[in-house]
Amino acid sequence: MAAPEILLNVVFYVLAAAAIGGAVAVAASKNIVRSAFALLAVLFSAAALYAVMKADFIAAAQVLIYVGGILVLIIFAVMLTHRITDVKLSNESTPGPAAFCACLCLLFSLVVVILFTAKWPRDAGEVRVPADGNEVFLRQYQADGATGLAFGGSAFEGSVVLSLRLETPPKTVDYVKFIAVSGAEKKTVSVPFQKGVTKAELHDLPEGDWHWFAELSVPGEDKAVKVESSAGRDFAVYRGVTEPIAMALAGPYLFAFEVVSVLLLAALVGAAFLARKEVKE
Amino acid sequence: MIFTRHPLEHMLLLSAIIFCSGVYTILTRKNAVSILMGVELVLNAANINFVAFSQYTGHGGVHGNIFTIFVILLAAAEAAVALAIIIGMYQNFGKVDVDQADNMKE
Repeated sequence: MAAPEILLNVVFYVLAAAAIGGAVAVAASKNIVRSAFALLAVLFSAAALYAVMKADFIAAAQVLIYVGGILVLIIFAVMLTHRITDVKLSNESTPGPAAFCACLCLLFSLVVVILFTAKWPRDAGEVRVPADGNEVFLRQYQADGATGLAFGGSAFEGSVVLSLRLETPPKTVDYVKFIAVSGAEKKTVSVPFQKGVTKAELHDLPEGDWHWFAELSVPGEDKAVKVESSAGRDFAVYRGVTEPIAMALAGPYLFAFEVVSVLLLAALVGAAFLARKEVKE
Repeated sequence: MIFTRHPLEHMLLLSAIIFCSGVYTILTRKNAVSILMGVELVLNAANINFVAFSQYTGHGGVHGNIFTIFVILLAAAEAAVALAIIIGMYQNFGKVDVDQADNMKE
């Protein structure tokens, strides 16, 4: 395992421990002030986990809105409560063996579903392409130079692994040329043919929608065998996730965004109305 | 089983634990502010799931991230209204325990 991968693992487990510890403290702490500050730990860990998942914009929004807005509001509400240190007054909880058992059952069923029943698609699936009596399977996934992770169809880092697998491989294929095209951009890499899976990495891809194909060069023949999937767009390259989010919010999600804005305004007006002091006549 | 080999499962298990803590908080607390904290935990667990699915299973989309933004915005609206209701409850009943507000029972 490479050093960056070890570091990523350590970072994840530290953040996960902080988040779980905070969540359990929110649920179990007798003192409501401690609950509020444990919630702070959970929200900050969640923001850092978004950064681990490369959702940088979400991490920023989490810190700004959750930690800076919602949590400060909650802590104010807690601090303004009369006699908060009195546990009986401030954070009385019903004795909950039944609730505890229910939550354990819920957790158990969630774990079973996550680990054993559900099969989540992890990478872009293989595409089968016929070529000269051979079935060729084309597939791509994201190459993360730092960690060696295999991701789904988007290459946020500008690197992608292209792979090709021949059913009943002939002995005659010499090398494979992978060609990726996006508009006028073209990247090519040639690798010697491998039995089983032939892989090639492309790095420093410019942003855009990419289509790729492979050419199998057969010695003795001057024309290479071209294998190509029918999809027009095989993967997209982003630099960070902020710009795609902005484009989507200004495009297909524009109406939803406006509705949420109006809802937020209505909620704030309603909150101000609810919280005003009743004028006695 | 380590994180970088199975990132999606790790994130889902983490969010399942946070979700169950939130549900437990909602079920057992009487104080309305504590219940609001439990709701925030549940919403955060859902957000982690959205981003994890968007990142680790995606077919070239950021749709999970956009849903997370909407959830965060709705959580902000919900927290503002909930705290206003809690203030109103305090003015009417002198307490913020949710079992005190029972004047619709009769």
